[in-house]
Amino acid sequence: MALLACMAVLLAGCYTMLRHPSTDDGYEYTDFRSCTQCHERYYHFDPHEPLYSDAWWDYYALPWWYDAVIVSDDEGGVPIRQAIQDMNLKLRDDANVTSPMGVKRKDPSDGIKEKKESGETRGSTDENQTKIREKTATKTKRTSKREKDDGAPDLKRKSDSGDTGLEDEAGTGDETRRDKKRKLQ
Amino acid sequence: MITKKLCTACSVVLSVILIFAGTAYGQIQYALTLERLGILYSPGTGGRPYSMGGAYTAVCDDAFALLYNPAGLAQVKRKELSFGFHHTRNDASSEYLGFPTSMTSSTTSLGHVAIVYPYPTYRGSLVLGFGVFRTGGSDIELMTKDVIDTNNRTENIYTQSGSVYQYHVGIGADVSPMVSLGVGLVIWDQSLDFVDNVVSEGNDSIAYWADDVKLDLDGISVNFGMLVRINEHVRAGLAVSTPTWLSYGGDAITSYEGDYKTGTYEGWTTDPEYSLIDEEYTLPMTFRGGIAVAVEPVLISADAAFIPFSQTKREGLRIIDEFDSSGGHALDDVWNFSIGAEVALPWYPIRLRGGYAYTPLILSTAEELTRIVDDFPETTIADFEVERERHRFTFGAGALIDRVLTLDIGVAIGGYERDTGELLQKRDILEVVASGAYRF
Repeated sequence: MALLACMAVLLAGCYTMLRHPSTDDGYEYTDFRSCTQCHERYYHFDPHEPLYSDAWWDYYALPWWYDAVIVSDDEGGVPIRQAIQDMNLKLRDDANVTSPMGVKRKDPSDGIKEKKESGETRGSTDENQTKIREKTATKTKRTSKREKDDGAPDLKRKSDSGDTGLEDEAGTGDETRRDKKRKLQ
Repeated sequence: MITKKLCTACSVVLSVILIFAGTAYGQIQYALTLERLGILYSPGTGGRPYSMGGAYTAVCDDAFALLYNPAGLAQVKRKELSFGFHHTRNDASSEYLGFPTSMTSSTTSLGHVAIVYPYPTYRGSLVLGFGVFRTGGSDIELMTKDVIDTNNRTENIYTQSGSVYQYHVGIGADVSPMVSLGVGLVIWDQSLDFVDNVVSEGNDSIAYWADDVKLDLDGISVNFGMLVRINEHVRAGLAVSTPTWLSYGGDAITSYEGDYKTGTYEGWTTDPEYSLIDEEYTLPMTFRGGIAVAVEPVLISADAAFIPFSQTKREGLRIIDEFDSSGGHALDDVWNFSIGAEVALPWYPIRLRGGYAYTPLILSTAEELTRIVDDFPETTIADFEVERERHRFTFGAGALIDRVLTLDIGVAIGGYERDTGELLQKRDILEVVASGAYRF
């Protein structure tokens, strides 16, 4: 009984959010892996930075569901964890952080508007989801370029389907990421 | 050296099993029995926490959060399958009226199996966990001898095997960017066998008395935890356990036989006496706090725990020391302290660890010797002085293998020493804990 009571307290109105908050434009949650549809940066503020870590243990700094949208370092970039830390620090200090997710909302004129104009419905079918991912990959790449111009880490996105710019530019899968990490140490 | 109460030798009739059988007894024997069964001392398990002296309340970011602080579950980011083994070697030596004896026993058993699942979140953390942990051992072999001459001697041999296992199911979640809370349900389980042999030899006869006991323990408690991320380098943890409701059940066979050395008698054999055991105990709440400070590549943690064992109850009533004229409790309140450190090597995925744990003895009374007097066992107990408090030094290492697999090993060396004036007891304990985790 006590356990149930505590679970109720923990889960009712808790800081932790299991579902995407509703938005003004009626957006409905489809898949946390496609956050870049709407958000300039697709990972939310993570207060659970490991108490301490190093390059060897970077893997444990990321939640497992981030694997679908893994951030990779590029040549001349920074290690994964450093990129995450930089991003979190930036988000933490960013006055424009208005989303409950702790990320800066993307300009509405970006992906959402484009999709509405083209008559697509978010997440309604597998076909639409595929299209969204393809667009997301394109936008992410563009965003990364803009960040690089601003001096921010050059980050790319890899989807769980494997159809990403990461493979195009940095080789294949986990092995590539590991190799790059080691090289950067 | 800590001086306990004045050493007061006193006799009580009967031994452990007859206490369970419900015959006349002294209350202090309940406390002695709990200590002997190993239920009062739970050092825990796990390669990493063990090698850090158990100072893990503010550190736990893996499956051991279930055991040390359920709020720590909120720090787990990878699905985790964890397992481990626990090896214990006990060297128990005693010296009764100058006559030394020693026995060595060892056991290797499952340390733990646990699984943790972080639920995907948009903000904060929600992590579920389940695990079985060996939290204490009951494997001991003891021998005490009193030899007057070649024809007059008394020998006690006590052999016991069993482990205390706890089944944990827990949940941890963030309630703010800085604070995590957790709760866990704990089911206790212990299957235990012991045989208590007494041999008493006089000028004209020799007598053998034996108890063969099988016990099963069931219990339940609830753990609550909180973890505060004070800043990026410092974390504080607090864990509170509710009282633990324990139920011992089992059966015992008591046998008594003997022989005469002279005359025409051929000796005697009594019919075995069968007894049923049914006892209810309540262990007190526990309070544990810890702090962890990390400056890469070093992590230092410290824990303090308060356990008011004087509130331990049997059948709803506190256990009183009937030989204490002031009516004190048989069990003492204790403070446990532990400290640990971890260093990450920059060149290899290896972490080195060390720690120290101070866990003082909970009783100030010990059993000395059981003799057979008028066809009945009679046990002498006495208050003792602590020559060396119970503590352990720990060290170990952990390695990362291909990102997803971690292997940890911890070694603990410790023990204690106490003296009743007639009996000097010394216990040296070596424990080796190996554990691994697959995180994906």
